[in-house]
Amino acid sequence: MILMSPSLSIGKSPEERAEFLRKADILEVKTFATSIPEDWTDAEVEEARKFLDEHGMRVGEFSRYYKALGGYNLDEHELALQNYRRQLRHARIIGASCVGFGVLRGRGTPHMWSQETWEYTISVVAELVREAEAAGVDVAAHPHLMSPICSVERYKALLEAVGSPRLKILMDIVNLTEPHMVFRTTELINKIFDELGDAIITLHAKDVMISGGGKIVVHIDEAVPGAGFMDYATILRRLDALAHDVTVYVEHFPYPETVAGQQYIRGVAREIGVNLN
Amino acid sequence: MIRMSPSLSVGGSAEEQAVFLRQVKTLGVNTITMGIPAAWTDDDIESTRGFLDEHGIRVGECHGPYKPLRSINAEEYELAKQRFRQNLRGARILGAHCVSLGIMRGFLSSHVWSEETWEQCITIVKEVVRDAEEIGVDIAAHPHIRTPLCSVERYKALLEAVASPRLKILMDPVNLTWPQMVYKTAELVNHIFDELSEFITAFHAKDVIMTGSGKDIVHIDEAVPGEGTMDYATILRRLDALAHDVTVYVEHFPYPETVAGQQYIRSVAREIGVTLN
Repeated sequence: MILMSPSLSIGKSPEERAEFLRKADILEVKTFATSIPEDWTDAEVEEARKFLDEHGMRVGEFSRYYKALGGYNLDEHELALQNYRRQLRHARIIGASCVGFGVLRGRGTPHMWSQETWEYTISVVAELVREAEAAGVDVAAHPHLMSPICSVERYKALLEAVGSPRLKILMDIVNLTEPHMVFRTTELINKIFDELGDAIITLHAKDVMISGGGKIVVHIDEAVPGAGFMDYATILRRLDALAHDVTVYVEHFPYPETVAGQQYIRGVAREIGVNLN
Repeated sequence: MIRMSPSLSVGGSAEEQAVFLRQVKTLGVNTITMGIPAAWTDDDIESTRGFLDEHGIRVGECHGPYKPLRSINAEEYELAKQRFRQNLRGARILGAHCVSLGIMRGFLSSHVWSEETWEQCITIVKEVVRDAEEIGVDIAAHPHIRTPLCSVERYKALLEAVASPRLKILMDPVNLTWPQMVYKTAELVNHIFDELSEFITAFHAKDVIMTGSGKDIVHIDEAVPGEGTMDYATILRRLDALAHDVTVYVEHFPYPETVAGQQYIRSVAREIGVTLN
């Protein structure tokens, strides 16, 4: 089942909770992506779980990205790992489908895509996955062209090297769209699902634009779903064919654009006969 | 010989020409890049030639009005060819080293890199080169990732298909820097020169930077020479090894940055023992 899963904040106060429910209603969702402030206690997370259960709401992707994970500063890496440990514990309490993570080591430097950085990334992911196994929660690796996890091939190598059922994929097709693939997103999507479909448990939904010419060499940017070149019909067909649930999160846009993006996806789904929750 | 060849406006009035000469002196050049205004008559062009000869200044790259050549409207295309022809005649009068030609059919469309668009571009270049042969001026094809002329392979195909001694290359490595090559510019530069050097008659000098994270997927942008990852030592060594003159134009920046960029190139040249004019 494809579960539309926009980012919503649970909140604590009655007003925040009412706002949460109002938005969930407008967005017509029962699943949502969220993170929980670092200062929440386990008891507060349990209370939030109870609230969600009462209203038939589930947490899909549970992510607060700690950019220092796998970074060059070992103290900051350790702190990031501690935060992920807490996040995994809270994800377990709240019943989240996964905790998303990324590794940004070397970003913006010539080392970003090097073999040495890649091997270090694998060791960092293996370390995180051990925590996930202990907590009993899936972790989902998030890609970006400007990070070591930058291709289907890198994903395959990661899954093989780590070899854990707790390691899944937070697919973000736009983040893997190199310039020459912008007008070939169908081909890219099919390659992604052909190679990695079994491991994909959550998807970041955006569109992709290319610009450049003259003084700009080339820019690849995000856009609201429906405003670019991403082949959503193929994405939805491939997600629908998976044997497991996948959450779909329209990310990075202000609220109105999130609604618009989600509605575009729902429109495509209706057109091609795919059910979304 | 490598000839630094900044873009300067010769002007018509005594004041404008005084500014021009001051800039030439500041930049330490005796070759310039320039455009020919559409309104100039042959007399205007000859007068400019006289002025330049008097001061020992040559025209390197002459900007070609090539953007309208991309039109698929037959009438507009014919007009564009006429205009380009007129520009070629003007370049001949000026004694220009070459006229630049960008190949932009399909620009901004999803067909920009298709085989069909490419075949059309070859036809366009053949037609324009026939005029160049008749008039007696070299045309230098200018690349960009966002146009059909987007790779070394496309250049080779073009040169082979057109097969004219009047068709040369206006090399712009930054415009050919796809993301995966940003940190491997020495490799890119060597690939370019290994395959195309005998045809390279003019060069656009810029630097290249890559950014991207989170909401920006990947951005490849120009920068002033010295402020990015472009390997100028390799560029200069390879240009210096050519048996013919090449003009080098630090393009797209305001005047102070052009001076700074040129000075950076001169300093690299001094460091590696390459002579520039």
